[in-house]
Amino acid sequence: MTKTKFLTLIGIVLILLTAFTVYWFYFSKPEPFLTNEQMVKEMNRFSPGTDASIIQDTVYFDEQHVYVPFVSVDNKYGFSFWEWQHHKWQAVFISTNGDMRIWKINSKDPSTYHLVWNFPSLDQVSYMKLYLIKKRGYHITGDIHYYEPGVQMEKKIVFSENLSGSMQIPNEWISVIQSLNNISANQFDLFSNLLNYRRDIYFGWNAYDKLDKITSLGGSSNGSSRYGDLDVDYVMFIDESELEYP
Amino acid sequence: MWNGDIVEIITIILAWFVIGMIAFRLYKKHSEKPKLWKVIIVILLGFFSFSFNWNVFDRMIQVAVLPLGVWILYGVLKRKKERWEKYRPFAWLGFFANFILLSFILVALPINFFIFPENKPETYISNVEKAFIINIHPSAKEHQQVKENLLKLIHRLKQEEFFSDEWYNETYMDTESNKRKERFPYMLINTLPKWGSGLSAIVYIEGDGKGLLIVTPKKQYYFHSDQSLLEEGK
Repeated sequence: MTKTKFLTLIGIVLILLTAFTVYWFYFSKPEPFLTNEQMVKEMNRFSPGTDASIIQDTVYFDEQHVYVPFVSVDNKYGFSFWEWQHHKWQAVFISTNGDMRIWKINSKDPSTYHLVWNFPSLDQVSYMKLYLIKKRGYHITGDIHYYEPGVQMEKKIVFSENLSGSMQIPNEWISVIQSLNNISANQFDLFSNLLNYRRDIYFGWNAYDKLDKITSLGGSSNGSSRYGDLDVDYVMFIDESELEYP
Repeated sequence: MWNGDIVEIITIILAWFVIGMIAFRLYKKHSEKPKLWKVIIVILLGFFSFSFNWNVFDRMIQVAVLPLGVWILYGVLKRKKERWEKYRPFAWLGFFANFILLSFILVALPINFFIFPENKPETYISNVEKAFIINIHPSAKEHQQVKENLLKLIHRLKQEEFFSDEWYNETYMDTESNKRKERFPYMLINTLPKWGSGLSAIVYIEGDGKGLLIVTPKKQYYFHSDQSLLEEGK
């Protein structure tokens, strides 16, 4: 074998090896999810002191994204988000406070938005409502009138035995958000950029007792959360005064 | 389905075709033939210019002012005089391509306007096969749906002024903030605009079913009819 041939061969092998490694590292199918023990260990690595003692559930949002609510040793209710990343199941978000949040797995695609919550106590509370809200607005320049209809959509969730859960946002909400996004997507034109549609649409929630009165859940407001570049938002508690009852 | 701005695309293709023709003629006349690929690069570089934006019919139009690309080419090529002379006409052609493109677009705008009249609801709603409404506010009535002959009704709509003082008072002044009604509590989803218009719009329907608010990235239109577009669902 000549030297050139030998080098070519080495080159090909190297390229194949790299291709395989890249594939393995970035694109391979996820392995089965971790055992509880492995999860607790990974959580403590990601956010030291999490100390989960009870893993309540393991919910697949899709093949590569998993939601895990837990209770910690000091009885805090929280949850964690997991991603199949770099050929590993990795914790990407941990909160020791179970207040409602929304995980936008892909911020551009509202069908990947998931609401999650894990509240500690059940007293008094019988159901909750989730909201999609956009405030109504108007805008007049010269004789050009501009009016933005308000959006207030709700989804009722009746609690079963525990207060932990998750939900993909309803299909109707997805359609509404997509419509609003479509309109703002074309809006690279500075002169006509009257209102930013996307920014002012938000999610909210509140809880009700058996007499249909809004009650607070006595939340565990002390807790901490950690995350990198994930798109995770707090979902605000909506008071009666912020809602419209026509 | 693809829905780009077909008039604009055709215009741009035509304009570059004309630019190409001119380039071809210049090239043939030239006694000393430069390399073809170099000519193409010189034209494209010549095209690069400092321009200002001009708003015509709610459309941004770029008007070239300074031939930046030509200057850069001159800076690079001037060291050999005959080389610069060889490429100069193509560099300037690149710059003037801006104006050829501009004049084509100026012709296309009214054509676009004619094919896709922006004050007609059927421009934004030309296909309702999969259309349905979503209640976006508690003021909406339950179990409403669009009528079978929706498209026909849409053709008959008349454009009107909107958000009058009366509306304002009704919404904001005369009601407590907690009791406010939404004037447009329905969103019409899954309608398609005219093919080739490149438009996108949100369509809201008024509470009584008789008004349409169409919101595009640039403007809003309000259309009204005597008849409701909605009916009680089964």
